[in-house]
Amino acid sequence: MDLILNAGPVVKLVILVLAYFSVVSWAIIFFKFRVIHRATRDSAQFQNFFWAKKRFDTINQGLKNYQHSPLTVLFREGYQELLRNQSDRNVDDENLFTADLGQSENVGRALRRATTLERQRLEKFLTFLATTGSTAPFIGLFGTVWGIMDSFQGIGQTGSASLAVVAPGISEALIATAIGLVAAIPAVVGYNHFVNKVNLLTGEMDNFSQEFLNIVERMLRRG
Amino acid sequence: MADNHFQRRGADFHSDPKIGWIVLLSLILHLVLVLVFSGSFGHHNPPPKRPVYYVDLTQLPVANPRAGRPDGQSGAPKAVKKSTPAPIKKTPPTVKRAAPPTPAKKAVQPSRPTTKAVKKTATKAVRKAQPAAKTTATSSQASANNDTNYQTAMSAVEKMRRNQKRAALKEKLAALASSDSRTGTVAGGGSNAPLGMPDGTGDQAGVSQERWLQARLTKNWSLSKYQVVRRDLECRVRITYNSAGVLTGKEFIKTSGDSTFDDSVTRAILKSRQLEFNPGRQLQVTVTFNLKDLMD
Repeated sequence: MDLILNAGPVVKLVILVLAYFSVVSWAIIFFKFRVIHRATRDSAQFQNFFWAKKRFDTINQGLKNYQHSPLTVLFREGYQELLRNQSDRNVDDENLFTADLGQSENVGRALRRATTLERQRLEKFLTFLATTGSTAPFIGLFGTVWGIMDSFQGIGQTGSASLAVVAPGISEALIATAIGLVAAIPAVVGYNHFVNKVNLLTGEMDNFSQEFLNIVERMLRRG
Repeated sequence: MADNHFQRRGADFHSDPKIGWIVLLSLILHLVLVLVFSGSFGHHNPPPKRPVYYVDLTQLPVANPRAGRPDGQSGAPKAVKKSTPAPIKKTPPTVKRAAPPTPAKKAVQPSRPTTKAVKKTATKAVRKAQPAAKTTATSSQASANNDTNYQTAMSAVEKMRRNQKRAALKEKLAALASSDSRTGTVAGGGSNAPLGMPDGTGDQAGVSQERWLQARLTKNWSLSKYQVVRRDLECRVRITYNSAGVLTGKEFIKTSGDSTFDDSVTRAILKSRQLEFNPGRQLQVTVTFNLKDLMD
């Protein structure tokens, strides 16, 4: 603590910026951990529920129990689009096959859109972690370089270059690099962990979309 | 139906937790960590002791010290007299010299010693002498015996007087030694000499700032005995303080040739970056650090 208090104003400012980065990074880590943990848990439960039930309307009624899963959003979007197309459907025997293909394409677009939105939601704030991981060490290094410059100026004034004179200033300056690393390391670890989880969930969403489209097309063909 | 075609979707899919309170939680955690690492939770540590300040009223560093001795009494003799123990005035027991040898009549009353011990011994001698004087007053044999008795009595009185003088001297020496140990001065020093420096020529009561600084730097100096390779090291440093008592420069006029010793000297100087007193002028002192003296 004394090292921070005895540091120069620029080093103190750098430490303050790094403290901000660290606080927000840890907040994002806690936040994303909670969001992604819930999404993974509810997705697994929803898939079990989905494949257990045979009717879309029944599944739609049970969506409230899995509200944190991105798959429920996909299902709701696809199901609503399907209902909307069926209500708009003009029964015409000549164009029935073409109309059915158009319906499945509409549902496919709705699912892709929902996948994109969910992916954006899951990746929200992760860019801050990436920024912290890549810039915090450099910001800390800047503080250290500035502190060492300041220290050498003091050495020049006293006219001594022994270790007893040089060491305290360098020690005060190095605290900035240390804090930079303390902020960056959890951010990098968190970023890699959450990006991996988001990729897994995106894969699940893509698979679910394909399965949902297959079911819809089979239903439309059967009439 | 137009409502269904242009309905915006996806805005209310999820109700994510608010990040605001999580940021607050993170901030609290960071503060707790900082407090823990800075040792502010001092439940396990004893509370810091209150600093004790010692004010040396007789060793104030001044710019222009007057002549005297640094540990001498100041110009206010009453105050100093109170602090120093009063000298013990013990007059040696006055033993009146015995009268010159006279005939037997005087031998009956040989002397008048003031102390009881002398009295006792004298009376004993007289008692011894009395029967002899009574029985041999008329004969020459008796007079010879009388002289012998008188001489014996006188020698006893002299012996007692010497013993008493020796005891009084011993007592006086003990009293002086005890008063010296209380004041911390060297026995025999002129306790009435004014406060100042032996080589002072000024008019201010106190010790020289240069001498004070030299003593302080010597006190600051420390070096592990395991780092000492040679004891014949010496270096001279010119140290400069500004009028506010801040160290502004130091220059090795003569280095010792041993970097460890030079570093220890530098550390000692840097410990006194700020003087406890305000010199009121630029203070430039050349201090000699002799390892042998410092170790002793």
